[in-house]
Amino acid sequence: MKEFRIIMGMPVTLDIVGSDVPESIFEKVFLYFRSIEERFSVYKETSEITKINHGIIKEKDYSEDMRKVFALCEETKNLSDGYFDIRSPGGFLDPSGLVKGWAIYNAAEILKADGFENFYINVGSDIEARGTNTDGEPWKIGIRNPFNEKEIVKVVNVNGRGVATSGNQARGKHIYDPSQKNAPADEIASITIIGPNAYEADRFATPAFAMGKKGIDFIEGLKGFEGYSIDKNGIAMMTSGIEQYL
Amino acid sequence: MPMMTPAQNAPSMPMMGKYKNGTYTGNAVAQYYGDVQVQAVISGGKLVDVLFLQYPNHGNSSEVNAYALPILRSEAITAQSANIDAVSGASETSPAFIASLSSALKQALI
Repeated sequence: MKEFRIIMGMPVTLDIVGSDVPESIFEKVFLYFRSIEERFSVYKETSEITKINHGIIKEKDYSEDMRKVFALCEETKNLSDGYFDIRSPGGFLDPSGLVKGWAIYNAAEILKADGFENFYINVGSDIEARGTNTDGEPWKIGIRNPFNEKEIVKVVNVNGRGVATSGNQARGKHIYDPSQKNAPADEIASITIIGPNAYEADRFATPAFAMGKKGIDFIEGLKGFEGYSIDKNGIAMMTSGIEQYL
Repeated sequence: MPMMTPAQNAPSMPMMGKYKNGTYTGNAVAQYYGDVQVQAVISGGKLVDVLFLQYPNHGNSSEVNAYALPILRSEAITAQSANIDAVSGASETSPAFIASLSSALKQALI
């Protein structure tokens, strides 16, 4: 059974295999995403992150979730040689590049705790897929052509993995190479990461994209991760272990 | 959560409203690479699908270029026709996507 909502300004799809899946579990997961939006949305005047950016909430009053996310952001910054940085040139903090994947992973754990094994969650094209699809096969995830919305250019088959894509169309002007603060990374059109879960895939998609052509080498060097990057000329480069998903 | 600078106004999305069944076309919204325009499909009072009518199509995907990292495999991308369960791509978090979908949903509001 599949349900679809718009939350955090993005399409959210939850597909749980089975014909008798209770509506309450869908509502539970969508409610969780709404709570994340309430806390972390940089759009909402009332969110905790906005209040932090406006100096209304001081560090000693940060919520536990906010502390956890900031710590994970700091760790990811260190693991990516500074390419993952939630501080914008204007000084505002925006942990969106990590929160989405983290929330998807947490939602998958909610489903697991309730006994669901075969499902996928797709939030704005970042996906966690567990178990198998309705045909009993690994979930088939298409990688979208960054130059043509209607085309799929690669299919990866995953079970118990996260898939996340970072690209120019969505975030190009907002991902910066820290060594060239004013130049958006533009030699790569998109990079898709397959990782142990949505959180891991999503948090490395952002810095890998910012690294430009070196991003795929960065992913090659990360154990447990594979990547498929597409440059501005439509040439894809892939990590050596991606074969297992093709 | 889409990434936007604080200077840009966040488009308001009528997320929880009641919708009339039908298909509604959003505004074409300019973004970095060109226009994005989506169509919202409402069935049973719920948003059930979002279709892309216009999407920036820049670059030449058939062009083969010589530079590729020596140790990693490379290929020219080609359209696949396989059945898939879900799609991963970068476009669904773009401000233009949200703005176009928002304008489509406003038309659908009861």
